[in-house]
Amino acid sequence: MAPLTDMLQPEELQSIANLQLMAKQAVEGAITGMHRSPHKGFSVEFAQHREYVQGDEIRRVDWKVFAKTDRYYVREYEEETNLRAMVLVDASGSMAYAGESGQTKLQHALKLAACLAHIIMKQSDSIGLMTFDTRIRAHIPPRSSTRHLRVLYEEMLNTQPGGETDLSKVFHDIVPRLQKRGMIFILSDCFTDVKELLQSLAHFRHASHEVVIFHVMDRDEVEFPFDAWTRFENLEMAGEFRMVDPASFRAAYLDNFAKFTSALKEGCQRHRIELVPMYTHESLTDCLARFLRQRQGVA
Amino acid sequence: MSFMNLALIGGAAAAAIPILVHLISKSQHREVKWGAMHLIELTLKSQQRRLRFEHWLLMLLRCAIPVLLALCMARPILKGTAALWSNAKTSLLVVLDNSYSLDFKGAGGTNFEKARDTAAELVQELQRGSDVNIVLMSDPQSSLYDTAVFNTEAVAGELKSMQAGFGQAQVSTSLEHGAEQLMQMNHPHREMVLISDFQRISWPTEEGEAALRTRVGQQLQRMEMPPNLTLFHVGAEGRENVCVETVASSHLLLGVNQTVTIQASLRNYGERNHDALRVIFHADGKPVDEQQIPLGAGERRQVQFRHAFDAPGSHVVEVVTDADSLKADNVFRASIPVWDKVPVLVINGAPSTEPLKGETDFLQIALQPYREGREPELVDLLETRIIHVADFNAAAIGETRVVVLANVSQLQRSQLNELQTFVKDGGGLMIFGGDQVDQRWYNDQLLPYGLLPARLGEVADKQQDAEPFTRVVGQRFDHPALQIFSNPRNGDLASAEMRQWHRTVEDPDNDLVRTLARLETGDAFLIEKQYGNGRVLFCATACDDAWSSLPLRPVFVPLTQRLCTYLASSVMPPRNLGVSEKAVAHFPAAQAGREVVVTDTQNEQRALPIELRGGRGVATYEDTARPGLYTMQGPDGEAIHFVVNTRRSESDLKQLTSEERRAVAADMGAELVQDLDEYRQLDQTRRFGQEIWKPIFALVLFVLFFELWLERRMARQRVSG
Repeated sequence: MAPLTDMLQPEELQSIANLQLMAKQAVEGAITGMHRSPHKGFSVEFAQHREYVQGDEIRRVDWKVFAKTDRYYVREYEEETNLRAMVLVDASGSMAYAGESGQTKLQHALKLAACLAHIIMKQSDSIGLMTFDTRIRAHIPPRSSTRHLRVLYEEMLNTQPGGETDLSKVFHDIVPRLQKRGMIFILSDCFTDVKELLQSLAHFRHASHEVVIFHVMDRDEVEFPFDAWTRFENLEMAGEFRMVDPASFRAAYLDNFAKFTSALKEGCQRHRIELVPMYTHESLTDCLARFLRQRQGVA
Repeated sequence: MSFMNLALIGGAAAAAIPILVHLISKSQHREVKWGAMHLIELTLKSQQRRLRFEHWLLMLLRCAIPVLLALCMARPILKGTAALWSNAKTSLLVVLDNSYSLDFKGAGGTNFEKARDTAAELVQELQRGSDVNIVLMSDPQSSLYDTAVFNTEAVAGELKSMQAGFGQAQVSTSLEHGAEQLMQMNHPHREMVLISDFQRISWPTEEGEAALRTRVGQQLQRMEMPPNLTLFHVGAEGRENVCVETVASSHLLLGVNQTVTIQASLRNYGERNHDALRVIFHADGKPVDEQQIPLGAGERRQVQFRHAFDAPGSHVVEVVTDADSLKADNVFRASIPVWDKVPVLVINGAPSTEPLKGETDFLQIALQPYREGREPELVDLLETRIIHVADFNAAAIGETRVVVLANVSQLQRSQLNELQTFVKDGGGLMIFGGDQVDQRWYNDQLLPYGLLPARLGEVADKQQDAEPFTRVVGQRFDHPALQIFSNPRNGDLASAEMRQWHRTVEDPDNDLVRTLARLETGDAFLIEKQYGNGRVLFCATACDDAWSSLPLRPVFVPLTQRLCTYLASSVMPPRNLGVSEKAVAHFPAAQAGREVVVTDTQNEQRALPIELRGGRGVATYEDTARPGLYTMQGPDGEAIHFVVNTRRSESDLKQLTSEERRAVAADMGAELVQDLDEYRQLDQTRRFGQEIWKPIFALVLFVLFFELWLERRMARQRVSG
């Protein structure tokens, strides 16, 4: 297994180690951890009594209270649960774009995924990984064991950018596969129809998942710095290209880009989805710090 | 279109440079593997049309700049058929306004000096072999040469020594005359240049004259070889001018020692008020009286002077003011004949030996009241001689000024011819009706000869009616012969009872005939006709008391006196002339072959022969182009004065505005120029075409600025994004 240090710079790891990932809402889990669960069940910590109603399990009746009061009460316990996190990494062709840094958006996204895995595992929570383009390419369910982290790293290292993207279709396919509620980290450039994308994200929310989108962008996509005649070749569809004079084209492109990000931001706010912009020229530390500060603010 | 530097047009090939730059930059493109293709697609979808348009526009502008620059440097010349004439000889016709309004002296000389110098310059600048003629606009329209001449130096010299005329400009007639001259000229390339001060009075903008000018202009364009018509404005507009408009005498016929009132009308066309304008009255060249009058801007005022001449003969009065620099209209002269006797020949158609029964007995008394009334102290002006019809002939006419036909039945053919000549030459004929009048002869002979104002109808007779008479309609008369009867104190024409009279058939379309007075029945009482230089008056009733009580009424005397003096006042060739009108004097036939001496306005004398014409001696002097006094001395020493006055319509020096001049030129299909340089430029354009490098250069600058603006606008779009 490749150690995390192969993928992350030591200073990045050091910085990450001190960060606390606080889940905004409790998730369902079987392993006791730092997160409170509102769900009552088998646990050692008593919560309260309540009157028996038809359908309650007989074994949960507190016979001592019955003896004292001659009434049927059942015992309720407060359990401690773990975080079930799932990292969805967009491995479509568009994520293969590399700007001046030489690092593709996919590589940057995977580094972030590794960081997230490291942090969550350190909290003894479980984390899974799913890569996709037009379909799900790899699915590693959440686990919390140390061995599991190695599996995740191996999968990350083997992930290569694929073909076209259809985020909404893939997300609709993914939702039924996540059997328990949890936290979904989506690492994608979101280059698809925003309206359809938001509908599919709403599907996650409907299934009571907490969703965080790391919007992975390259500086070139944001600033469009080209000036000479440029042949833009489609990363997702071989042979398709556009010959453009970027100088005269730039203003309109940036206008459309701003509209795109604005629509995405508004949609996410509407569905209570956290959207974290992430630029390939930025350090991961900065990106994660921004994310966690943002979460502590809203928690 | 042609080019002065044709080789430089090759520079237009530089238009390929922007295209090549575009193609090269497009071929040296970079390749980018791009993820956000949907954004590029979206942008292309919304911006492609605009971007494509802007790119094409920019490309077009960048290509246009070298093309236009090359065009500019090649100095293109726009021309139609002008190229055919570029080296051709020219036929130049100058229509020169020499009306006296151009005598106005502004800064740098008179307007006419400017006009003639301009014409001389135009002539001098003609190519060798060109021909030229000059038409003068002042009436009568005349050309300087009978046919076009080739010696342009001589023409220029003659122009430079020319003096302003004193007539009125006749625009359309001059142009027509010019067109006739042009047809006789030699070269196919023809120029007609009209040089004028565009005085408003000569260039009216009213429909009639304007339409006439336009028509003449169009006719010129339709000529087989149409000329280039150019209107050349010269001269400053005179702001101040006072003129003596008219001088009128109170007497139709003036006798010795009779006091005449001379009434002069002065008008101020200027904008300055004159508080005390000096007006001087001269009689026979000597100052007699002087008045000072106020004359406000735009005002007209009358001044009266009284004078009596103590000797018969030709006399001259003049009214002078010294208001301004346009001298020609500051003086108005009048030639006034003073008569010792005015011979009247009365032909008696019904003589009688009984007192007051003859046809002319009352008339004789009325025409010579002092002699008949045995008043030795007083002298009749009219000297009446009564003859029978059979005695009427040329010899009987002699010096007669008025012939009266009193109830004359008819005349012999020879008599009729003599009478016709007499009237045509300016004699006065008075015809009274009566029972002896042969209506048929009058209608068949006298009428066709032009000596009867209206065809005679039946004789009206009121004697059998309940009211056995009618009267002359009392009215206000404006005719000079009857004007005094507008005042009842001078006599009442309606006091006479008319029992019988000749009805007449009037011709309302004949402008030469005018009814002066009517009877209450509506029939004409007095009819006047102009014939030749003379006049005919027809009285519908008789001059004795057989048909009316008119001879018995006091009004008969002044009436017959006025009618005869009125007729006699035109007895002579006119002596008050317009500019360039002929001065004609009659002499006895016996003096034919002898000479008269004419002294002109410059005191130069010239002898003229007396020619025998129509049974009398006639002397004619034609050179009356300058206003002033011309004196003709007859063989027996008698002086006859002719005065020439300018037409006062030219005294209003207002010119057309520049807008109006442009409109006139446009209507006539002409070009309008203000100075020689402008004309030369126009001529250059007509001959060689119009150089258009300046507008092209302006276009280059515009395209450059537009390209710069477009480029910056597109750059701003990039930056703002």
